[in-house]
Amino acid sequence: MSALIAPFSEHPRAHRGARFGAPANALWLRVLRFGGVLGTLLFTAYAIDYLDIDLDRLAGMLGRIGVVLATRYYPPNIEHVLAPDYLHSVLETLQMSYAATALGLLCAVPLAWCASSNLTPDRLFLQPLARFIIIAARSVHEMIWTILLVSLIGFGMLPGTIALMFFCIGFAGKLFTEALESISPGPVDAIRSTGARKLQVLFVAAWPQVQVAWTGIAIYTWDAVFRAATVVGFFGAGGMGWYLRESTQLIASRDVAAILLSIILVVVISEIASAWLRKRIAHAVA
Amino acid sequence: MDSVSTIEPLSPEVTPASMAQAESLLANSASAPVLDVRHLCAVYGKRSILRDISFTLNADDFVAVIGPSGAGKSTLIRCINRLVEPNAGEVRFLGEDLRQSRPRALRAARRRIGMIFQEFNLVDRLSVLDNVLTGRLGYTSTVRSLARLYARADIERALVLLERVGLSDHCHKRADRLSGGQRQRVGIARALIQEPRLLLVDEPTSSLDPKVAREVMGLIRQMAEEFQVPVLCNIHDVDLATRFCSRIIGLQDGVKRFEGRPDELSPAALRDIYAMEVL
Repeated sequence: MSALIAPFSEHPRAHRGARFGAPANALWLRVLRFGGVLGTLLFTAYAIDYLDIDLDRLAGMLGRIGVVLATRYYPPNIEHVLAPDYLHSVLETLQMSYAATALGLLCAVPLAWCASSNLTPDRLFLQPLARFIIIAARSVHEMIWTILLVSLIGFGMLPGTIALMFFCIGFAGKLFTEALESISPGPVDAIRSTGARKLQVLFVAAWPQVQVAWTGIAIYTWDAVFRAATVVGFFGAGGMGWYLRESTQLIASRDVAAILLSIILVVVISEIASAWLRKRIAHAVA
Repeated sequence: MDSVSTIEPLSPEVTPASMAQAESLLANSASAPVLDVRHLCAVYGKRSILRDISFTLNADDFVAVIGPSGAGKSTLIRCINRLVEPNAGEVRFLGEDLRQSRPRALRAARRRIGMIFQEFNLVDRLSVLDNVLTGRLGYTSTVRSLARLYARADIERALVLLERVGLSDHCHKRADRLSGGQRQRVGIARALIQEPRLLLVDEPTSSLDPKVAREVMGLIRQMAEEFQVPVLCNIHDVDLATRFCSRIIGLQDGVKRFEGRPDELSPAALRDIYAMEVL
């Protein structure tokens, strides 16, 4: 190991560090960094070994994938995704993501206000509570929320919408909070010093500073929610995912192929639309 | 100039009775100071920022707080309206100890304490006029302020004040379009529209060049005299302090080392205050 470190200390910067009187510190830092990288690599090797990953199977898949795609999934059954039922489910997915984002953002704004360390109206009770809600919404994956809610309230759009709303609260809540916490504190001090109430401080001192970031985050959130919405149906929550599950279970591979293509298409469209919108808004309000 | 002094008072609570009370306070200013700070201490982590600071501020005072950087000047000013929470002592503003004030009472007191900042602290994306009007937030209901529906009298008052600080032509510009000196003038107007009984001024000139700094200090002094507001002003520039202020407090490492008139500030006293700093 010392042989490996030796070349580093030959580096001109090492000499400069020594001259300015912080050599021990710098050497320790390098050893630590080197050890960290080495440790990560060793642990990766250990994990692969522990999981008994069969690389031969992986190699075999590479050979088969072309054949499987060509014989089972090609050509995709485009008629299946052009059927009125399926097109209707695309619309449902869109509406589900839209409603969930709107409701989720409505909850995320007050939660972010309460959770932010610089503007929270109450440090003792509301801030920990809001932080807990946001973290709880984040730490459970949206698919798990869906499974949970489907088992609680049955199939349909409602559990999907609620699950996506939780996702939105966790996602936008965290980003909104971070945007609030990074604002310049000067105007906040100034507005507080006029005797303004906490809500006035939020709206007058903070909102002008975060409106661009928040608008961007809101659109980005919708984009992420829409991506998740294409799959929640797989667990019984309606929309495009429902058809995906149906086709997979029937082993109707050419229908599956068409559905996957349609999901990729709508996600790409939503991503382009959201990027375009964010850019336009950043320009318009800057 | 006349137009300002003849404007009716805006605050709803300024009744003839409270006016009389205020006038009697002014008359007995020697016995009833506007601000009475006693044994103020502030601690940050394990470091003591302010140690046992006491002083009073009368209605006609213009007090400068001087001292090397890190002496606690800014903390002292911010402890008075509790932007920083003091750890011990009393801050009596018009007889009320703000350290004991509940949030509502603290807000009511803050309405009457104008504050001017080193970095101006305007809301960049709002217009100059809207920035001045934020000084009325404490007097405006939350719903009205969210819709920016300020009282007509407030808007007229803001326009008059903007004229007085020489910014009539810039009312509808965004605040970040102005120069440093102009921005500080907006800050002064914002503080004055509060109808303050006390002005806290935190390094008003440090972000400005020397000529503009003198203009801004002159304007603050002129306004303070005209509206009869006492001023507590942090300033590291001793020359500006002696030129514009009626009394000087010297801080060093959180301890009050000097208090007196500018002509009492001898070179020896200055050395004492700035002892820690390599001059």
